[in-house]
Amino acid sequence: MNSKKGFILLEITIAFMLMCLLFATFYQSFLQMAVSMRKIYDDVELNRVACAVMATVESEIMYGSQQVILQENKYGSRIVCRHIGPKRTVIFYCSNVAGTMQKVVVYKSTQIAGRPEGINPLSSQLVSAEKFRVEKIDGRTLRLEMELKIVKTGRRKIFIEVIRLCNGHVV
Amino acid sequence: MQRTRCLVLQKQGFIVLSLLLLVVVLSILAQGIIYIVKQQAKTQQEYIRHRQIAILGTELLSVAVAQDNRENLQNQIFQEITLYPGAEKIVPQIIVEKRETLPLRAINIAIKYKDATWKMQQLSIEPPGGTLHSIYNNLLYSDKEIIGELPEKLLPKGYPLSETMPQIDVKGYLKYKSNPLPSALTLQDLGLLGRLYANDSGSSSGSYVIKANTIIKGNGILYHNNPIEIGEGTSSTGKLWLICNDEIIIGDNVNLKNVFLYANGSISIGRNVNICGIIISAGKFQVGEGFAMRGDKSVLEPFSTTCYMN
Repeated sequence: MNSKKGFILLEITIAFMLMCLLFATFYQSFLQMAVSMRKIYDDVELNRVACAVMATVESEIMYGSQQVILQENKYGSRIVCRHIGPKRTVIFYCSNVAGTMQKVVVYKSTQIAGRPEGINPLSSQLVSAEKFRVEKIDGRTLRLEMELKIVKTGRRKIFIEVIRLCNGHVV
Repeated sequence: MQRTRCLVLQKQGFIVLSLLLLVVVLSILAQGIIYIVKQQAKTQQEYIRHRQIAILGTELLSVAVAQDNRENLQNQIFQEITLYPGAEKIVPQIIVEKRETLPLRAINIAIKYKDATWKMQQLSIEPPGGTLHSIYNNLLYSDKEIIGELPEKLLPKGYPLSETMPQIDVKGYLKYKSNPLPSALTLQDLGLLGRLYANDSGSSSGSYVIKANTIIKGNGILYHNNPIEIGEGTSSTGKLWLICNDEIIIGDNVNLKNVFLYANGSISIGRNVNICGIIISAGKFQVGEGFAMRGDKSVLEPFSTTCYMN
């Protein structure tokens, strides 16, 4: 009985050793796999942030804005959206996170007449907005180009969207 | 001999077991990667699809509205469109609704996708009875009693009138509302968004009250089945239509520009009120002292709402 139990333990240990041996033999492949997984994870995060930013900017501009004014700041473009409702103005822009110089995130500022300005970040601090540029294609169309970077790994990706205004025009 | 054979068998067992463990670990990793990639692809596809439908619908709507301005647009069903990625098929439709009695034209773009229908809409609304209705030859119209002092040029032509104004059915506006009547907070924060506002018939039992000293900014049509009360000191800046199936009560010191007031009941106006636009009442018209009015028939031009998703 004792002999049988010992045998199972020995068998598992040897199997584990063999597995480690195989792992060591194909170390490069496993490492490549881990790197690929990391890249996939980073891409997922970049896509998620880009979708969140683009969807917010687009929904504001597409149906809600009667006038869009393009301005520049230190970190790229500032999109000033004058809402159809005449008391509301929304501005999208990039700025560094308070207390840091490197982390730049996209912000949405909402100004309602007679109320204090509300500012919310649209992207997480794990992702830095390297580029945020808007160009006017015609009086009703904008091209938004945004480059995002994962701060920790340096993985970066460029996202481009064309946005049409339904109820307004670009100044 | 038997012992050696047994050892060989055991060794084979070691290799098989270790390989099995390795395969299990690798397959779990692979499954994880495939799951993440699949989820991401699905999310991306949905995001792209929603954008495609929104852009397609918006473009079709702007073309349909432009075409409707040139000629009489009819209902149309477009050819099937295949959207990539995913090779999903959609069939956009233009649905034109006309209400001759209001009169009103609604241009809708309907795109069915999965279980839901995306609907983009724009309305072109004329004043009740139509812009060419004879009552709109007057700047101010009331076919019953007019109480208070009014300059002669404001009195309806041929006053006192022998005929009574036919009641125009304005309840049809309810079907085309895009938003409920704005609360004081909405008026304060957003203003009017160039749409038709009305409450559901079930929730419109009381009066609609615009509280005192409100500044109504933006363009819009406010329709209510029951009385509309405008608090004292209220002012408006955009193009505003107030259409009521009951009476309209306006408080003191109200200043309304570009306004079209239509009531199937009476209209009562307080003291020191300044109005620029057109006033039509199927009931009696009562005005307080210090009333000033400048007629402006441009408010009767058809009201085009903004394009919105319904």
